[in-house]
Amino acid sequence: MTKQSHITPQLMRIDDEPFYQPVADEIEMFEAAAKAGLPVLLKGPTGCGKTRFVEHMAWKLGRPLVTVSCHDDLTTADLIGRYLIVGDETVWVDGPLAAAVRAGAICYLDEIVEARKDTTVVIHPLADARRVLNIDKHGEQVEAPPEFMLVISYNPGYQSVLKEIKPSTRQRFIAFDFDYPALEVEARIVATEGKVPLEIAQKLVKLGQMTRNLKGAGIDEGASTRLLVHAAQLIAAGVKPQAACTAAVARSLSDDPDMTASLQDLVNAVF
Amino acid sequence: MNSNAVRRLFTSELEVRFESALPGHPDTEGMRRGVQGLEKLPRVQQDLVLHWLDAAAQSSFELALFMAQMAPAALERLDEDGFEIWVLNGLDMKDREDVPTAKAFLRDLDDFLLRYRYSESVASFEDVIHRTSIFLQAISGEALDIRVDERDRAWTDTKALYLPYELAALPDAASNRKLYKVMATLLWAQTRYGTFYADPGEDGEAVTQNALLRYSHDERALRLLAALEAVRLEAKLLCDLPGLVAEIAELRGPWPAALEAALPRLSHPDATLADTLAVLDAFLAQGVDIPPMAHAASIDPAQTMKNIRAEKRTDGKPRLGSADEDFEPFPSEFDDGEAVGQGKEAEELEPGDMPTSATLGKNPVRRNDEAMLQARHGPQLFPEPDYKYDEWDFKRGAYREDWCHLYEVPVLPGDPGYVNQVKHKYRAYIWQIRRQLEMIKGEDKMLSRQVDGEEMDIDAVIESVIDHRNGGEPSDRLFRRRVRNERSLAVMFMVDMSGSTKGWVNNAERESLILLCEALELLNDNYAIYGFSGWGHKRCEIYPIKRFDEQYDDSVRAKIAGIEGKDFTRMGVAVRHLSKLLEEQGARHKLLVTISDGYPDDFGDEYRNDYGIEDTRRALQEAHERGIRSFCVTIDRQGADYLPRLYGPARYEVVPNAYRLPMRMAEIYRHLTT
Repeated sequence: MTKQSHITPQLMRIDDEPFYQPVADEIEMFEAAAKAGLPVLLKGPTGCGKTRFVEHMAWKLGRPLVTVSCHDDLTTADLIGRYLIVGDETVWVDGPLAAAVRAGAICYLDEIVEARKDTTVVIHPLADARRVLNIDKHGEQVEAPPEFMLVISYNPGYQSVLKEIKPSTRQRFIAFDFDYPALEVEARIVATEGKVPLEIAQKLVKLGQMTRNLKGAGIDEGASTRLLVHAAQLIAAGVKPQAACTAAVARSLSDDPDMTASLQDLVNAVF
Repeated sequence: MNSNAVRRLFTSELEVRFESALPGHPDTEGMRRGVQGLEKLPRVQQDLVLHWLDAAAQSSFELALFMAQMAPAALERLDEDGFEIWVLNGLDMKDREDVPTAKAFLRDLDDFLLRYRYSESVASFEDVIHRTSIFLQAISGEALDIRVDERDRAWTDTKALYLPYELAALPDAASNRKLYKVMATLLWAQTRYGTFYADPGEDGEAVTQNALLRYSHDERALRLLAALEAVRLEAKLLCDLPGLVAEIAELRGPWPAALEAALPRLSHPDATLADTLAVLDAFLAQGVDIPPMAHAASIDPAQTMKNIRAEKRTDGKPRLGSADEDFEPFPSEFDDGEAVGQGKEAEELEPGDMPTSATLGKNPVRRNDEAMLQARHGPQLFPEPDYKYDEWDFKRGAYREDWCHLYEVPVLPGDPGYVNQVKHKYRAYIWQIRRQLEMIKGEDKMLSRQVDGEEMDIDAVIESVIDHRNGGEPSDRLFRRRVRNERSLAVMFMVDMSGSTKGWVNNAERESLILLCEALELLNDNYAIYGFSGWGHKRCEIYPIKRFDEQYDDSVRAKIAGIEGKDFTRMGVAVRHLSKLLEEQGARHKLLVTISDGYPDDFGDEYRNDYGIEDTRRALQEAHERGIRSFCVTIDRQGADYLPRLYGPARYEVVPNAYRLPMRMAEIYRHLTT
């Protein structure tokens, strides 16, 4: 038998504070969950600040952050790790989840419903009182240090019946509801992130709110805060507001010519 | 470039063409004149006329020749499209009337031009409704009910916005479409910014009503009122929608000079209806008058107040988009209320009992009684129901056992040409949605770690080598194999066939089903379509349109065409029955999609309101517990505060306008299942 070695990737820490505008008591709640070693589920529409919140909390708690965007080809090995052959040796390389567990990091599984069901199951022992990760391949059981924290997110809005989060998974997590912030708060976020005057940010947010009124009436979701920030960044880069909104909002939300035309009407009405 | 291809045809060549189009036509003098006229035209126009000469000759030599003689004059004033419409109209005229009428039509170019220009510049309700309703939903936050006004006015009764069928006030179609948008927005603004309600707390309603009613029969006053309100509302919109206000200003041009004096007061952001009325009184006293303003819409206090008062009586919530089904302001004009007009006679019957055929026959509102009776041969005779279902009584907190008697009633086939018309109407869209679905279908799955397959599974091979080196037993599953993505999905579409769907909702449902079927055929998904309606708990009816084991063939197509509005909407029993049928399907994922147009309702008061809502909710809950996912589509006409309660565990979507249903359904399906 050849000698086995083991590689664990070095994890990055977030040094600069990521901008996050708290809306309610989510920061305190997250800190409490971190203290109690509880896994967290973030629910909310796309682009409303879930990922940014996790980044902010990782910075605040001073822990490394490992983010995995889930997709339907994500295998258990992609999360836990696999053997590779290096020269004449077999080498075990930790996957992102194993690396996060060993390092006591925050592991953030974004859009968990997209992952295959059999993959989702490997997080179960990590997400209850056991707090262990089983690496069947070499019979290792990694106990999570107190700093390790599991965070998953999903978008409960418009989703396929073929993709739902299983009750056995979701019932292991404490859940946070995210939504788009109130007008003034969101305008501040758009102004800060997009580097535009507050007055323009307010118009963008009004436009965003109007498109959200159309959720389910032709578009799946209205313009996210992220899209509005993109529009603001285009404006800050010198693009005319209407053109910026056409590119960042109207065309981005729909391919249907009628709907795009209506969205364009809205853009023109607001600016 | 080959100059031969573009040179004009000479007289001799034209003569040959005329001769071959009109062989043996005796009017040689007329042909000579026709040829002469054409000789001077450019080749493109010569070809155009010759083409239509051939086409028209199929119908009448005399008319074809006359057209050719008129053609040079027509082409001086019409473009190619206009010319074709001119000829086609002439041919139509011949088919409907006779050759002399058709010739008279072709001769009167002035009249045609007038109407042609009009048709080029007009915008119609149908052109704009989709875009306008989206726009208004976005700015108002609710799905507004927008309808065509039979008297071609723009006004609101505070429940619905009424728009003219056509607009031609402005010179081109694009401007007229904008005018529609502006009119609709101002009508919404009337309801939003207190044309009919002052702010609560000021006892505004009484004041408004009395004040407005004073002007009811004074046309000049109403014209002024509409214009003054347009000024006030424009200022209200300025804060949130400056771009729109700029557009309004461009459309209307400068305000009439007579209004100048009122502008500062009415444009103040805090101006209310009281300011408008004060200005109005002053203007009336001074004898001011203005021409009607196209964009300002009209205000009809008598009609609107009638509606508001009646509505106050019923639910005290006089707002656009309130969820009040009971009140129908114009029952005689709009035959779309739930079994409109049946109330009086129906009330005399005992709730839950089925009316006898004699009662049905006497009922003045029912149409196609004979056909309906035929279709209902079963229930008429009170035979044993096909199925019995329990119903949830929320007041008792218990089920009523075997309460609903369900009959399966065949659908009579409808117009066999209907499906093709719809396919033609939506051909571009069907193509588009098919292409999107093709992508889902094309997503073959790669299975890894197979004992056999098309290619090596590198990951598996590496692991196997590693296992071998580590002394373990290497796996023999080393291949990847491409398989067709089996969706294992069964879908039930449950379609509301209650009386309230009569008319355009029914048409939208039928169109949606055709689009869905055309798309679903591509996916091989297992699906069924059933309609539901009924009259009381002893006669619930279910109409099979396509069973799970049926193919989408001509008989199914004819049944879709035959879908029509029947009676009431007892939803719970239909959900129970259809989810049972769905459950019998072996598929891993089961989806129930309901399409309806309002909340559940049945004959008598029993099922109305909470009872029906709670029962439907319960039925959806039962389905959910059995692993059936439901998605409810509501074509809503009156707002939908009750929907979250009604649909409980199910997801739902409100399609505010029936016009939007067909295209939306296919989209919804794609999203739900990918």
